[in-house]
This record gives sequence, C-alpha cells and structure tokens, in this order.
Amino acid sequence: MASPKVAVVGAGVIGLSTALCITETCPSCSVTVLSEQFSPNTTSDVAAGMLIPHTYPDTPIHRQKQWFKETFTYLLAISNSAEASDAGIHLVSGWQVFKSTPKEELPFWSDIVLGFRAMSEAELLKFPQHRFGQAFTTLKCDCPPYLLWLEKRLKATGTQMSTRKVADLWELHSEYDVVVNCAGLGAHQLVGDKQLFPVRGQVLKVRAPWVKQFIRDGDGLTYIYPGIHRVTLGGTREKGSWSLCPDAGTTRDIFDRCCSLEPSLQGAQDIEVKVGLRPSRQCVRVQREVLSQGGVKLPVVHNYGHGAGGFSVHRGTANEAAHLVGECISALQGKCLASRAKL
Amino acid sequence: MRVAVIGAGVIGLSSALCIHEQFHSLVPSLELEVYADRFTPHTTSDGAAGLWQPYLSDRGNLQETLWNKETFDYFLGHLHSPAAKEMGLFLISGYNLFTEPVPDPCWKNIVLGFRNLTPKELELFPGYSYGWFNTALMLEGRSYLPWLTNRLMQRGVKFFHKKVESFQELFSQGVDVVLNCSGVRAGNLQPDPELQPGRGQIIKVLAPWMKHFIITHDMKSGIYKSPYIIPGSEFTVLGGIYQHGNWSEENNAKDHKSIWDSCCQLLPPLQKAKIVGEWSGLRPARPSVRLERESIRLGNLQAEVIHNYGHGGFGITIHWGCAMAAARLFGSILQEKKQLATPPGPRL
Repeated sequence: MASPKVAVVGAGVIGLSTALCITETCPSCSVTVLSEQFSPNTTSDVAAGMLIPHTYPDTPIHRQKQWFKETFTYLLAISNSAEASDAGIHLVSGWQVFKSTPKEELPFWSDIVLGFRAMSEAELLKFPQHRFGQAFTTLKCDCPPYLLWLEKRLKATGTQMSTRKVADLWELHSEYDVVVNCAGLGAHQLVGDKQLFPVRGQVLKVRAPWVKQFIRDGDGLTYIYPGIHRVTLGGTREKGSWSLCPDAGTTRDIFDRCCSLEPSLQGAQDIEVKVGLRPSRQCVRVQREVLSQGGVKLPVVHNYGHGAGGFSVHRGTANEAAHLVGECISALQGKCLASRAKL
Repeated sequence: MRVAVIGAGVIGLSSALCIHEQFHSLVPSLELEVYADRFTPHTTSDGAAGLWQPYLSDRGNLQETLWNKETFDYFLGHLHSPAAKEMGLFLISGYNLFTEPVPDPCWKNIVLGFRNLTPKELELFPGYSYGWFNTALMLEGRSYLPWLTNRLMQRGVKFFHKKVESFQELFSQGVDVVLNCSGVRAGNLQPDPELQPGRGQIIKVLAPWMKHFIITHDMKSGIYKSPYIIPGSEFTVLGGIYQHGNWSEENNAKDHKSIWDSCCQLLPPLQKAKIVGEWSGLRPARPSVRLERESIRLGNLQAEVIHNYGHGGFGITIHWGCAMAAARLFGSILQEKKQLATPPGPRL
C-alpha cells in the first residue's frame, strides 16, 4: 500500500487538526477532508476557543489532562511565533469568579495554564457578588482565523478539501482505506450514536476593544472572552436543544449578565448573535472500529463528542486519533504483506 | 477671582477640573481660564500610551508614591462608571521583565494581583530571567484629554490658544492666581536647570491580538531605554527610547529601527503587525515633581503661582494626586486672601 488514502469527515477544529496530525505522523498518507460545512459555518466558528477545559464525567482525568497539556504546549509555541496572528492564537489573562467557594479549589488543569492562583481580596472587590476567584493566563484560538490557518497548513501538505455531505461512513469504503469520523454533532445521524446530544449555546460577539481580560463565572453560564477583534459574551447551556435560531430574550439576558460582571460592556458596539450546538457526550469518543459488509472491511477511527471542551483538548485527541490511524494502516499493510505472502 | 492655568496636557486640564470641582460653589467669583500653545491631540500627554506605572524606584520622593496611589485608587473606583469608556479608562494586565532579580517596587501593593513570574512564563521571554505580573489601569490620553476638555467646557471654563511668554503677562491682565502646568517648556516661563526633556519615540501598530503590556528593563541603561509594548483600545504602542537633553520632536530613523527590532525580538508575532503611525515627544523630566506655591512681588501686588510640572514619564500615573495637591495649595491661597471663610469640607 504505497499511499494509504484517508478520509477525514468533518472540518471543524477536530476534523482539521486530526487531518493535520495524520499528515505529520503518516507523511505517505493521502488525506482528504470531506465536510458539509467549512469555516466560517462550523460549530467551532461560534466557539470562543478559550483553553479552559471542560471535565468529561467518563473520561479518566489523567487522559483529559494529557490532552489539555499537549494542546496547550502546541498552541503556546505558536502564540509566541511569527505565525501567531495568522493562526489567531493569543495569550489572555483573567479571572474565574464564584458566588460561593467551589468544592474543588484546584482544577486538574491549574498547573498547565500560566500563573494560576487564588484572587486577592482587592481583586475580588471588582466582583461584589462573588466571594472567591482564580486568576490565570491561558490561550485563545480565534475562529475563523485558526480554522483557516489549519486549512492553509493542510493544503500545503497536499491535503484535498471537499464539500460533501456524507450520509453513511460506508459510502466511502471503495474510495478510502481508512475513514476518520470527526463529524461532531453529525455523528448522531452519521453513526447513530444516541449517547451524543447537543448542548445549545448562544453567544454575542461584540466590539469592545478596551476589554483585555477574560471574566468567567464558575457556574459556566456567564463569560466574557476577548478575542482579536471581538469579545465573545456568553452564554447558555441548553441540554437537548437542537435549535440554531438565536433567541432575542436570551440575547438580552446574556448581555445583562455580562454587563453585571463588566459594566463597561454597556458601551459595546456591533452586537452579533450566534448559536452553536456543542457535540456533547459523557466521554470523548477516540476509538477504532472496523465496519464490515459482505466480507469487505473499512477501518474507522472516531474522534468526536468533545462537547464544551473541543478547543481545550483538540490537539491531544487529534494526536491520539492520528496514532490510531497509524495502527489501522499498519494492520492493513500487515494484511497486504500476509496476502502477498500467500501467493 | 481669576485663575489662569498654563498648559492643556493631562496636568493642566486635571488641575483645572479639580480646582473647579472643589471651589466653584464656594467662590462665586471664580473664573477659570486655560492658556496653551498646544491642545489635544498635540500635547505630550496625547502621545503617551496611558499605562499607569510609576518608575521602579521612588527616587526618595514618598510624596510622589502617595500621589501615584491616589491616582490609581481614584480611577479604580471609576472603572465601573458609565464615563469609563469615554475617558479611555480600562484595566490591563501584563509583564515587567528583568535580566536579574530586583527588589519589589514601592507600588506593588497599589496595583492588583502583583506577583513574580513563574519559570514557565519566563520561558516565553528568552533573555529575561526574572519578572513581575500585575493588573494595572490604562487611561488613554487621546480619550481622556477630550473628556477633561468637555467637562471643563461644560463648567464654563474658557480656553485660549496662546503661547504665554511670562507670568507677568497674565497678572497684568488681572489674573489673580496662575497654575503653571507648562510641562517640558516650563523653563521658558522661569529658568529651571533641573527640568530637561526626556525624549521618547514610539511606533504605533495594529496588533489587536495583544492583550498584555510587556515592559522590559535594563537596570544599567535606565528607564524607558529597553523595549516596551503597550496595547491600547485601538492600536499598540511600541517604545523604548529615552534621550535626556534631546529637544528634537522629529522622528528618527535610527530610533525607529531600534524600537522595531528590539520589540520584534521580544515578541515575534509583532513582525506581522501593521505600522500605522510614529510619534516623538518630550517627557518633562525632573529629579522630582515641582509642586509648590511661589509668591511673586509685582509692584504692590502679591501674585501667586502654583507650579505643577516635571512629571517625567509618569504624568498620567501621578496626575490626579498632583491635581488634588494643587487644589489644596489653591485653597490655602484663598484662605490667606480671605476669599474663604472656612476651608472646603463638610459644612456644620
């Protein structure tokens, strides 16, 4: 098998970063990204792209920590290079504030982000309704720039990108040797994963260039994330809602909650409302599977279900998925050798 | 009671506002006038990035540390006011970098969240082995000066675009008190060998991904001679020039290269930043701020001057504390002239 053909389904942050990792670990592979949507119309484009991990209930913590660490290290290097502004990666500092002291004062990722510490009394004065807080510095991946940068890197490796709605992974079996499923919420339909569910998030993207720090309420519902040109104000976490339509009442509510954390947002301009459906799951599915029909086999690698934490762990899961793709290819090449040996 | 303020930079305008706020209702005859040869956006204050940060050492002037603190606390209290955006006031965090350990600055407890940098953070800045992180305030001159001007105009303060040649000139027109906020050119009004220009040059770039200030220090060369990067609300300021005694306000190509090369080396992403402007200005440098009264005999009249100049590269940092102190000096003048029955304060 001279040049294994790999199809990656999905062109959000997971699909594109997984495709890129595959080109890095398996340079002889010919990779094609197939997706119904590309940036700026993916779920990833709505996300703020903040590196603050979401905790998956059923994934072992050490694995989540490893994914986050790999992602943080990878992005930190880019943020400090000449590529940073093209890639949309930048450092941002700020505060996570709690109305009541959380049970877990030290999250698992506290030693991976920079300068993590408890907020001082003087800092907490800025948040009269909150009694406890954490200050740290982390990274932000602005979209669309980050996705467009990944697409550019992929094209430079010869990766093809094609707009195509894949209805069934099996339809790819004759054209590709390995299929990588990064379809996000699309996996619900594509592979019938009923453990996958949307968590609807509505956000506002506003112009408020004087806001240089992030502020996040520890309840995860209210957050202010300054990006390159716009500040993302959030949000909502509506489990099970499939609606992509912005809701006016929700817009008002998000704006009010954010203004109560940062009053200067009253002066924000050019408010855009966006909705994304987080592809949520109790654990991220990074796993090999072999589909077979009538004696024909199709190796599949799944990498989906990142929910609210896609950006935070994307590179780590992409590395893992690329490794699994490598295993699939080795297995196929083993079979090729074995079947040739029989002649 | 005619009061003339000479100078319309941050010191002149804030002193005028402070005096008007405190005394206009107590002194019905108070008439405030601002005289300047340059107004915003052409003052020294307009070129400053606007970051609140004093020098590393207090130079033995505890009074100045107090004025710096008063300024910080005052504006921290105004962060959430509706005027903050118009004033150009916001919080910003960032890094101070050194090549060797240094003592903590006297302002460590004034700013928010002051701490040393961790080893991982220092890895981001090759060549620097020690540093601080803290959250401070920005007060952008381009917004703040127009805001001060509007507040003063609303209060009926009059503005005169005119180069005042002497204090005498104003007193002979019937001015009772002069506030000398003439900054780097105060020497034209009264010789002051201690006042020297501390020439600076800055490059303005578009780098909207920058969310932190980064100030490097070379303890051997001195303040502002090492690269610094300060992101504002519209553009980012790159600097690192301090030339004592240089009166030139022309941009210099060698300085440009020095700033650009050193800032890009400090922060490689800047290589992609678009240059949108350049500016040179003269910091009114002095070993200490001159903030004091002077009585000048003019014939049979006693004329009063309140000097408030020589704020170097920390004018915005210290301005409100100084304005309050100038207002106190004005109050004592009023008392002496029996313009005030009682000093300003709660009426019983």
